[in-house]
Amino acid sequence: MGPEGDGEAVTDRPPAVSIEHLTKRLGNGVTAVDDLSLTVGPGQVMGLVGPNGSGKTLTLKVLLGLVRPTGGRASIFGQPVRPGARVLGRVGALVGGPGFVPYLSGRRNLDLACRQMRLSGGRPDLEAAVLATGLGADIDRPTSEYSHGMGYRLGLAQALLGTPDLLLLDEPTTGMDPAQVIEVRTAIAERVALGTTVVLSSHHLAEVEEVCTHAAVLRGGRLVASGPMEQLVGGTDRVRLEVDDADRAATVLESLPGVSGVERSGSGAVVAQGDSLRAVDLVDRLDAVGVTVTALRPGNFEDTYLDLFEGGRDTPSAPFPTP
Amino acid sequence: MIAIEWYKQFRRRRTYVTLGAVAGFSVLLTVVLAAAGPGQVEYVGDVPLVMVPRTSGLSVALIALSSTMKFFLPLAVALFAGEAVAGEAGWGSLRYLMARPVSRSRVLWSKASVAGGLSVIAVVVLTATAAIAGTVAFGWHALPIIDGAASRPGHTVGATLLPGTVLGGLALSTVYVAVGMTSIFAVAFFLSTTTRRPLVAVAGGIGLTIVSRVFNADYLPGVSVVNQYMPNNDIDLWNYLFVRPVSTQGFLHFALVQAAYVVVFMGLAQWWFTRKDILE
Repeated sequence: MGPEGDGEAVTDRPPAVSIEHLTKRLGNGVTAVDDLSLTVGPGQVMGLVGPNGSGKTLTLKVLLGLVRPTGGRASIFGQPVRPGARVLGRVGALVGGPGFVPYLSGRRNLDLACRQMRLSGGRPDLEAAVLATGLGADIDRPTSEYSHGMGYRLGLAQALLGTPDLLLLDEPTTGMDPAQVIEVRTAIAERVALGTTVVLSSHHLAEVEEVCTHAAVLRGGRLVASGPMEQLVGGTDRVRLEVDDADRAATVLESLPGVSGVERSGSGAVVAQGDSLRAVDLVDRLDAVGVTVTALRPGNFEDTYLDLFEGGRDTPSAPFPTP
Repeated sequence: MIAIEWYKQFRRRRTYVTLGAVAGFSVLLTVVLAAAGPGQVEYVGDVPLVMVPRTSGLSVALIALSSTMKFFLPLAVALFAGEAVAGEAGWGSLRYLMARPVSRSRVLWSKASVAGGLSVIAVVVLTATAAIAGTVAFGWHALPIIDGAASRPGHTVGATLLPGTVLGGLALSTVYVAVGMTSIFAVAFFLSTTTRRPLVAVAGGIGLTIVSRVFNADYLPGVSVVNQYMPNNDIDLWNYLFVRPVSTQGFLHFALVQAAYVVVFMGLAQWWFTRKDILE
């Protein structure tokens, strides 16, 4: 880290990412990002979630200076983003999938990235990045022969080159097997521990809940919810119960002391909200009136997400794995 | 930045295949001429200029230049120019190149200068290989030129050029043809900034030579108004460097037409590339 290292005036530490009223209309007339405002503080891990086409990738591309906004502003560490902006030297990215020169080996591609970074004063460490890919001897094969997962590993290693202060990762674990997913999470966590700010888009809500400190939910290019993860999840004050009779369960739970609200979650589940709820008590009371609880767990980010889309005009296109 | 672009090209098999094909053409031409019977005459271009290849090796280079300038060389040039930006856009590596603190103009002009450099190399390789192969096969002799104005062209020697003179003329001709490739280069390069499919840009560059040929007043007198602004219809004027008296008429006009295409299409490339959204 070293955001104040380039001799800028040190006053308040500017947010790592600041997006104000960002709008992007595409050539076909679609408003892909619509009046989006979002701030990511230094050291935060922000998860961007939303259905396909909700504007996540495009927002990240605006932050990289690849796409010009139709309206609004975006800045990184207090400096406005435009194509080739100096501040991009502090950003590492894996956006829209990895992209490499196909006839060059993984190592040569990383070497090219290093040479490009040195042009703008960066000091990347090629050998460390090669190790970080975990590709072994495959690092010397042409990238055209790489599998999907290998490409993403190389892409992530490239994004991590030169210890960026801000990481922009667009669905970095797409198509990876569970072991690889854990590796990627570990790599991200290591950087976060060093103080790196991360903006991560993902369809894996459980992953976002585990990895991110904050989240923003997008729909149709608009922000529908954002905030610290515990706020979005509702802390431990939410209990999700799968029951055989959701209607009766909801009626019973609403009448209980300490329960401040009950939401239906899907067809066979309810989420109770309140102060210091004891799941055992809830199950007991439901059992007493003949409602069987088949499963229960604390409320999670997925419940919040599904709540946000329930009854809305846009339903999520359901790319989400159900546990 | 330019060094990085050169690195990418010189690590690429296609670069060597293209340049190898150009050199291979010259060698093949030499072999074919050697196989032809003695006294065989070759007509170079439309001008009354005929040379006897087997008396001077350098004539092979002139024949090579003349027979590739209308399609083969434009293809090689369009390949280098059309691939320059669209290739990386197709691979997805363009966005990582651009998501850096490097201005888009710098990326664009690095790519343009490397693709342009390769195009020049292609033209030079063609004539140099032909000159060397021709000299090895037929020797370093004076070149007799046949008098086109004579009653029986093809049999009356009009002048004899010393090898040094031919070499000078050959160098000028190579420059002339290289200049003639710049319009094709500029069109293919501009198209390369607008697509992620390199072949579209390559086809556009070749398309220009075809359009140029369609609007050729030599075949269609009705299009003489447009003809003079077509970039490739005067590509054979260098032939007159080997006629006595030497004529450079039309050279300046040709260069100006090329320059106009370069300014317009490279300007468009710059305008578009610095504004476009990298969505792929």
